[in-house]
Amino acid sequence: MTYFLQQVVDGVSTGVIYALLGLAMVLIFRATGIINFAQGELATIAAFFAWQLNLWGLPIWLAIAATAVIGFGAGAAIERVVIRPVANKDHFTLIMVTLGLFMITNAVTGLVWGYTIQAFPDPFPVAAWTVHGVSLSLASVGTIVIVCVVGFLLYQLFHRTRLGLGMRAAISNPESARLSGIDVGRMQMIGWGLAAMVGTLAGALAAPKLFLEPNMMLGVLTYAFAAVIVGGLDSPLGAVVGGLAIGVTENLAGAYLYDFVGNDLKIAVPLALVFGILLVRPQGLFGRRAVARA
Amino acid sequence: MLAAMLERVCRVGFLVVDDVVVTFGGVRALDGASFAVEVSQICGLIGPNGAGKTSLFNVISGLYRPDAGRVSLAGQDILALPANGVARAGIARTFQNLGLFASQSVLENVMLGAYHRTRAGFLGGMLRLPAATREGRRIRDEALAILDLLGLGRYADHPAQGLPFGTLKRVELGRALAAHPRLLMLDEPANGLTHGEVAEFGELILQLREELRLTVLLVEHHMGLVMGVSDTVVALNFGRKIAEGTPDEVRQNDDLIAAYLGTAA
Amino acid sequence: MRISLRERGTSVSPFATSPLRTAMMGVLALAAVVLPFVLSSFVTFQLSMALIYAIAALSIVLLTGMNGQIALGHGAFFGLGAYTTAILVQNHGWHFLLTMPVGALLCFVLGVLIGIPALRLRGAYLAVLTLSVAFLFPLVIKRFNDFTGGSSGMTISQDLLDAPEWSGLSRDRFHYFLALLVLMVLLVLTRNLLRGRTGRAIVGIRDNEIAAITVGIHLPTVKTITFGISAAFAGVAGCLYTVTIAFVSSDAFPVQMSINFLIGAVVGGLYNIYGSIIGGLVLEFLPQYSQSLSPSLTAFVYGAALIVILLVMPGGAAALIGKALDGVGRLVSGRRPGSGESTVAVPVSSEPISSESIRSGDDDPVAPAGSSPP
Repeated sequence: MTYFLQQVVDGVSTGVIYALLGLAMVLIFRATGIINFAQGELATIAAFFAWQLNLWGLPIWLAIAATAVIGFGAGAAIERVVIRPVANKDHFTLIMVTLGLFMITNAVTGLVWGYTIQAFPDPFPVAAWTVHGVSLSLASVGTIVIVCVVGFLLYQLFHRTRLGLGMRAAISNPESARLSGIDVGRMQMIGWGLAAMVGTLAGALAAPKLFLEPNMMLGVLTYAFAAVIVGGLDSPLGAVVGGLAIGVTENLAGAYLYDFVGNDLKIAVPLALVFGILLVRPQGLFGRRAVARA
Repeated sequence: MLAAMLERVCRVGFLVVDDVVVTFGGVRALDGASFAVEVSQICGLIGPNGAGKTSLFNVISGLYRPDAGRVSLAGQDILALPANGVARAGIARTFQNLGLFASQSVLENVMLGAYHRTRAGFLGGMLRLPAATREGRRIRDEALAILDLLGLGRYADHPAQGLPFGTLKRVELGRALAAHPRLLMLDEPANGLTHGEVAEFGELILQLREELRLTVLLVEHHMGLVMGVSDTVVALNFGRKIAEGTPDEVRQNDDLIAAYLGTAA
Repeated sequence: MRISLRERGTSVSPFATSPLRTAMMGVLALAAVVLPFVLSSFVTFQLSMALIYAIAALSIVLLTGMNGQIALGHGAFFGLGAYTTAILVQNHGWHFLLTMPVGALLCFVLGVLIGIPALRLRGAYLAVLTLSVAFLFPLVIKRFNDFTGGSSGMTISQDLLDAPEWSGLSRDRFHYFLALLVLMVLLVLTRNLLRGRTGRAIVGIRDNEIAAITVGIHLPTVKTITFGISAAFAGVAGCLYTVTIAFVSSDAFPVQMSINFLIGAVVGGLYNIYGSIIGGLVLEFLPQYSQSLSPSLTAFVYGAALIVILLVMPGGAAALIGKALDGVGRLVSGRRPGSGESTVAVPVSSEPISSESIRSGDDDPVAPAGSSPP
């Protein structure tokens, strides 16, 4: 039982990273209706940036905070320069454009910082508790708390603020939103900016575990996709639950199905589950079904 | 009450729509609509926007699954068919805002209308097996003939996209005719036509009915056209039938006048 | 997925009709035959790789360009084909030519199997599903490393890949002509397919699923089989890859490969089967030049090219060449080009049947009612 609990706890602490990147995706989806394939790469470049600031002498938390602020600007700028011109195009074009952004970001990261693996300083002090034989590190607990706080804030943002309401209006019916005085373009810029901030956190919290290198988020991106898909693309709660579920399933599969799946394939188990779920509930577990007939 | 039941049980016709209910998240788009159309009759379907005309089209063509009700064509239960099987049952339709294949040529669009009555598959196409090639040539000739009939011959190789709306409406009619339908459903076919063209189009429908013995279900806002060509007219409002009869009878119907003038409550 | 109708043609053959186009095809064909006898064996090898990537790009053109199903996982089918040939040749002593039908068949079956869940997913969901396949493939190879060699790979003995005696060709030239022959055959098969009834259905589904259903097209059948054929094409390209390179490893088929195939197809021209040839050349030669400058330049150029092409010229290089040829043809003959070649036009309607869409949002992955099996 202790072993099982330990696996679950470890799974949760991996899952929160997926959840965090998933939250960034939910933000962009709610702001612009786009699934952003570049989200992971944007998080990576942010992590590198924070690492660089830290190397130049900024304390790590300050470096992350500064990166998040700059990230907001960068995200908004990307929306303005790259996304805005294609905003009215079909989904295929949008997917391809974010894929292009994915490749460019990845390349720029490699161009600037190279492909040598760097050690990212752990923002949390090394400490752990043992509860009933299950060990809990401070880093895990801290990350979980951060994800919960971010998730809660986003939920509040979407449901309790004018900005969130505006976003909802802007995506569900841009024309009438515009007519009722909502600055749709600004909503979308803010959405991308906020997503870049959340992504920065995801990158900075993932980097100590994954080793900092340009391709570090590729796996996380796939799992975060799976998380938001299972949770529902428009639901922050769904992204968190989805991310945690994937982390836990992955870990349990590695622990109990090792003979069958091995270390390499344990991630296939949650991915297979996700697509199984998707076939039964195409809108995800927490997503609202799009109402038929506009 | 017995009389009503008897009427329902005994209701016959070529196309029979019986007590069809369609709801969208609580809104009843169709609320028990019933009527019948006889062979080779033209039935006009009228009603204000949102009355459920297009929903009814979507039910008959298999795109919506109604919550309740029955639809049959020549005794065959249409609702039991998969959506793509409706064409084979002899039903072809056009769409209010066009349902064309924009990137394909006008000729290809019309040829696609004959899809359900042709056979060539993946292998036949890839390897150009003689049967597939022969069939393709036959359908092509038929489609060209239809285009000529509709005066579209010179557009045959033009992609559908980029042509004027009125022309595309005719292309879509051509595509529907290529299906060799028994029931032809036209959704606002006169939309985008000039005044003169509407009259011409009315003639065309009558001519097609005559020569092909088509049964026609016609949704149209152009009252002159509907009243001019229809044998019977069914008026819908809020998903219910509010009037049915010959054009003259329907024209006198108080409910219908009220629905159009907005005084119905 | 709904694809906008702008600047999209199905001009299956841009080289048809005009004498200029025929002449260009002739010159290209001649060059294709003569070049390997003129160029060094290394450049011949590179050209073989370009042809192989062209086949992979063709598989994307068929599935994504013509049928509208986004394909981000074709590196997995390519890899499956590659491993089929590697294992059958190296471990079981098969002749490499005989492994190609096996690779094609395996990929066809896997493609159909993946095509089935893909039926219910569209747009971004389908992209993520196929991306996951690409992501999992190297992991599967690593998992079964006693069978596949894992990340340390598997080398195929060169003598097993020699040209047959009767050909009288060097190994490199034989591999080149083999790839050329396969590409030509697949191009002809695809062209035939697209010109016929089923091809109209394949493109019709991309153009307008609802209208496709109402003319009687059974979406699940056409979409899954198209997926299978596309996967088989990618698989055959993979078989040729092993034959040409004589080495496979799990690291040779990363996620980026799948993305690159899609990019190659877009750059060459998603809506023109001959664009895949340009796509193949780009995929082989662009990295050769950019890689020498900086290791990450390739990805940068790909990403930038992707965005620019989608914004400026969605038809890719093929559309550009088509326009140029039309222009030259007009200058030469002083006549207007045939109307059938027009690829740019105003959309018929931005929402084919907006007021009666069966399901509303594009973000809803559910297929229309009629596409699920009865």
